[in-house]
Amino acid sequence: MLDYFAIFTKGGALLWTIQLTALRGTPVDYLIRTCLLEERSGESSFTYSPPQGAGYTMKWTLHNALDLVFVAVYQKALKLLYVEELLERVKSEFAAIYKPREYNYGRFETSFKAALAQCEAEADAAKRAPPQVPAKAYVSKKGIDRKQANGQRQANGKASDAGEGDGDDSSDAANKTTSGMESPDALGESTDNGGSEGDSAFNQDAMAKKKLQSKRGPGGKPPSRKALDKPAPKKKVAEPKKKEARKWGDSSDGEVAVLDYSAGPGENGGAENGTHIAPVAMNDKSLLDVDEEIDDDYGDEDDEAENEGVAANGKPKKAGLLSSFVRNISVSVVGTAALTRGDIQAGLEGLKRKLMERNVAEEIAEKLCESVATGLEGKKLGSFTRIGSVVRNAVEEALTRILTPKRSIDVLREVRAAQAKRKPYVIVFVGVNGVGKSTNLAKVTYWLLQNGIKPMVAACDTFRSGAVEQLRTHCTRLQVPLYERGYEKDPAKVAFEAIKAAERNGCDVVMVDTAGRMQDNEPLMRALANLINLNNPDLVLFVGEALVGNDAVDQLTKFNQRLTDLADRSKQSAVDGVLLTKFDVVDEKVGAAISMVYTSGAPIMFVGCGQTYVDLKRLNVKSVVKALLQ
Amino acid sequence: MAELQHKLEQLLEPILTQLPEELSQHLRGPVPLALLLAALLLLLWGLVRSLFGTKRGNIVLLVGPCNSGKTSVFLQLRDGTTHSGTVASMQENVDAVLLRSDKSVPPKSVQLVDIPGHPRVRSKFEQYVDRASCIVFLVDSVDFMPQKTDVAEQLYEVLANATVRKRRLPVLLACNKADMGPKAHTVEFIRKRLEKEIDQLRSTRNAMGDGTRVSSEKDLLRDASEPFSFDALVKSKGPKVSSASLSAAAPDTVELERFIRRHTP
Ligand SMILES: Nc1nc2c(ncn2[C@@H]2O[C@H](COP(=O)(O)OP(=O)(O)OP(=O)(O)O)[C@@H](O)[C@H]2O)c(=O)[nH]1
Ligand SMILES: [Mg+2]
Repeated sequence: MLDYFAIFTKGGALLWTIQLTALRGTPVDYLIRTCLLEERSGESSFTYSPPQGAGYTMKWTLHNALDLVFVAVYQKALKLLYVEELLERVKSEFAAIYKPREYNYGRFETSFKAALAQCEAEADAAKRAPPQVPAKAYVSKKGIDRKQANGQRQANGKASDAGEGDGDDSSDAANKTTSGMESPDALGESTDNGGSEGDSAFNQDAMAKKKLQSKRGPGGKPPSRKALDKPAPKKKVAEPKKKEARKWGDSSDGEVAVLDYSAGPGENGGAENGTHIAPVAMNDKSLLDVDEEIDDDYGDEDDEAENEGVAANGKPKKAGLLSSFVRNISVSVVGTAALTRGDIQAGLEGLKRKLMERNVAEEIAEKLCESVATGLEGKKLGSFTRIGSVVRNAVEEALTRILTPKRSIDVLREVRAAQAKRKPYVIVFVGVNGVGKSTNLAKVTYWLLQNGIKPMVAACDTFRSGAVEQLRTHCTRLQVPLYERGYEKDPAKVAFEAIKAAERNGCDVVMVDTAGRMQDNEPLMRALANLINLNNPDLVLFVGEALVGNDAVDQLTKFNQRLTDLADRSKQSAVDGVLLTKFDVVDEKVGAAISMVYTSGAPIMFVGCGQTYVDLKRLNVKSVVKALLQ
Repeated sequence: MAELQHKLEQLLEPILTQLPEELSQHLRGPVPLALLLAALLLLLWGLVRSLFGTKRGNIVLLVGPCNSGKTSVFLQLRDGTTHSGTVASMQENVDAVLLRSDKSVPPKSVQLVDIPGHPRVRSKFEQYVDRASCIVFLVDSVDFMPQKTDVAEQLYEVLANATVRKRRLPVLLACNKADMGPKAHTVEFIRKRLEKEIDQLRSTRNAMGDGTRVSSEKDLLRDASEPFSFDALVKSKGPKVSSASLSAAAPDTVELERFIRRHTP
């Protein structure tokens, strides 16, 4: 039985509702805020758990020409087979009587009840008849295939290799889509246009770096800048990671230090051997605190128009060019034609491919495009508008919406609030191996120090040898206290004791470094959940590489899932924020930002963009969106 | 005049390039050309008007957190009723409304825009602020305390906006749901509380360069020596923030309408 049905405008004015049983909570508002406005409207249903009682399932449909939304709400326990049919029927019947600025639709009740009765009867009849193949079968099958493929990759242990797996995945994905792009009238933009423009989006970064370099003075060579120009070295994570030991001893001249102190105990052991480690000069501002001038202008769409219909290999695709031209003409002249699914799909296909080339995980690109399509279908075009640019704008808006943080990312504000309560603010850094947890922990520490906050570092990576030494080197340089209990100790306990110690010593923030772990490693995930359970941190930061492709989704989903399952935190998601590392080496392939935010719902709070303490930034939403689409 | 012409050409450029080639071919015939000329003249006239006319726009912007009642106020002002109620907005509402609750003066028509409060769509504000003549910042005075920090953050963003500061757009802090009696906090309380919150926010924002901060925000952040107050903001050439109580449900929109009347052309 249906519980509730509502028809309202996208502006938020209710037009007609029917309540068939007493409704608990506010399912419709929940649907709008957590699904429709989160680019998830392409999904087919959504669940809501009211404050008391059993959950609801919601299904919906949009009428984009009239800007109307239709929502059906029913008990989650029920499997109502007729809801989609009902929504479609009600949509077309209501659209026929709808007038803008008219709010009195009391008479619609009879039509609705008739439609409901008919749908119920048909569903009953269908139940008795042999089962039919659902229309959407191929979509879900594709989803399953992908999951299976993922599963296999993990089974081979390949998914664990972030760097390599990523390369494979994205080229796979690219191949797949190119072969899927045979449709001659696809509005796809050239794949290799905008490469240079993509770079230009990051010119400002480069400029900021230059400024920084010149600040270092004539003698101070920028440390291992070269490493940035090369693609990240491939590495095997399964075996303990070995990093090249970088020079750190000669940087006492005020130059900003290179951060990578990770090394096996034999190779380095710096502090251990009593080598002198010079404290880092604290006068360079963390890039977080450096203002940048942002140029707001978006790239022209004209060159894109020229590129339309040009195949990926650069040769003009004749049929594509012609038909997209014809379409342009027809749309321009007719003016008020409604967008069909086919039109949108053609325009989206190219954008989806582009997103995937920019390293957005395939699954996410698909969902996103599905959601944009749902929001556009049936929309009336104004005169002289090209479908291509309408679709592009919609995608751009969607990307901006996704990246715009939903919750405050003002860590300092939260730290100050904790200070007032005389309670240390606890940040836990989690993530898979080798993504730069410790290094970026040090950068955040540096930034906190510069803002007059007293941090303490807790070495809770009691797993990988050398981890504690690496942290000690950072702490010595930054001159912040380190809490460590060596290896072989339960990390949860170490964190707990560290927090107590911080309270005693009047430290404001406890930075908890944890061992990198693969998302499928059950015992280690359990240990992490335990750490979070015991210490109830204020902020769980997921550290992820910008280089990661399809695996980003898997990593974050599993971390979130396992941590919420295992830990009894009242929060909906375990990961509160994302720190995206190695952002400087990905150029325009900034798609991991989208994948991670979309999967976790957590904002990107910091972006690591280099090898020195100051190389920490906030995500610039505009330039990321620009890089994704150009 | 030459400059004007140049501007005009720039203005027309995107329109011309947007037209498909075939169409622009057609446009070169004599009749369309005359039409084009007429259109050009019209545009020119508009340009001259906008150059010499008032700088402020004529839109009244309704902003504020989710559930503060923006859409209810919008419907109340436009239709004199909130009809069957509202749900969270996904899109802005734009329409002309007639201010008519004060019977002693003739009704006045203004353009009202209701921007959804959801953080993902809030940025629509920036699309409209260039055409705004004043801003109404709505607050839910019943459910205020649990969300005071977020409300302050959103208000801060409005006050730090480059256009708001440059044009010194007047802002009304409108405390909605006044019909709830003792459950609703007073205007004075909310104003004081927000000042305090913004003061704290300012100290942390000072330390946060998100790469998107514009110089206008730096102005707002300057002289953090004394505690933040809306009155001090006016003295430092910032926007003027006045406050009023309001109810979309009761309805009581007198103060709101007075503010809008005063600050629209
Ligand atoms: N008691 C009372 N309730 C009100 C008043 N104004 C609005 N409400 C209620 O507050 C809720 C939210 O109102 P909306 O107008 O949808 O809020 P909004 O600001 O448009 O919310 P978003 O669109 O999500 O940003 C609704 O349930 C209204 O009935 C009022 O003056 N008094
Ligand atoms: Mg609303």
